Amino acid sequence: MEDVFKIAGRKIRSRFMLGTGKFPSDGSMAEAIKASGAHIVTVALRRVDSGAGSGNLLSHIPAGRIVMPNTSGARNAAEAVRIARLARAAGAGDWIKIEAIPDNRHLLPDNLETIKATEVLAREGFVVMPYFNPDLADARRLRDAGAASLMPLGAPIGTNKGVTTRELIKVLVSELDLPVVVDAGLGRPSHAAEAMELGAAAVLVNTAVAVSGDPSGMAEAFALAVKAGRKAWLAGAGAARELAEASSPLTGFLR
Amino acid sequence: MRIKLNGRDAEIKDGTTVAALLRGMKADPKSALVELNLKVLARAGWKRTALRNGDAVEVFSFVTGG
Repeated sequence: MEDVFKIAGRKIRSRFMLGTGKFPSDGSMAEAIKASGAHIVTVALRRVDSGAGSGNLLSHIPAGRIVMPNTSGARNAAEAVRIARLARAAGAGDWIKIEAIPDNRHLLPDNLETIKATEVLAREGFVVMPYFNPDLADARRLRDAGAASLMPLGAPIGTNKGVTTRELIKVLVSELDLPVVVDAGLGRPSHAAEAMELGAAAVLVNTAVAVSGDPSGMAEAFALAVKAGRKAWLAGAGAARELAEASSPLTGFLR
Repeated sequence: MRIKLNGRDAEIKDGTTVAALLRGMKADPKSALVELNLKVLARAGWKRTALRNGDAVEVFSFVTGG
């Protein structure tokens, strides 16, 4: 049976989403996007420094991708909503990843503000993907507010620590019908595979790919790990046991 | 005359259009986004919109990010 992945009714070609930050060059970013097979890639929005100018980032993103702006830099719902509206007015489409982050040290999101922004933007027709601290009650509030998916963090942004929230991710996967996209903190392909084995619908990675010695190679490694983890989830992993259980016959060889 | 550009005071010539302001900032016109007095100003309006004293202009562009 074909394993179709949909968000907001739209078929998404890859369960691996890639952020565009921190790459050594626009060229290496473009190569990594191709190698990743990612269908959804994220971008951010910033003020242009007078005189320093601005380039055209979107021209470097290979064709056929959904470009999903994030609201990074927003500290609350009002700022996130403003960024989302601006991005859409600029022709970036309806997809928006909400980040409402008042804390610069840990970069942990504010769930309350995230829920408020989700409510406003979903009503305005955005496909809202909220980045949040994995919490069951808040996940239900996000669903009720109209979120198209849930983006719980695996670990704080850029920390490469892996799925430190694994028990909470499992709860979200089992309790909600929305796609769970584990975002942030995944430092290695094995982390991505772990998230998928837990039943995540997809993962979003940026730092681990962008700052590796070979971003394209790492993008491909993550893509393979995501596929492996997904297949393992669909196949159903055996439960862990305390004691050994022989996989060969237990009768003696010569008796 | 004086405007607020990205939150800071800026001195510009009378009659400066939004398009001219962007050129001066070296902002790529294909990808820049403009808010004039907190309202999005569509690209089609940049050439014909002359700024007025006291206007607040915000200029954004897409940048890389996760």
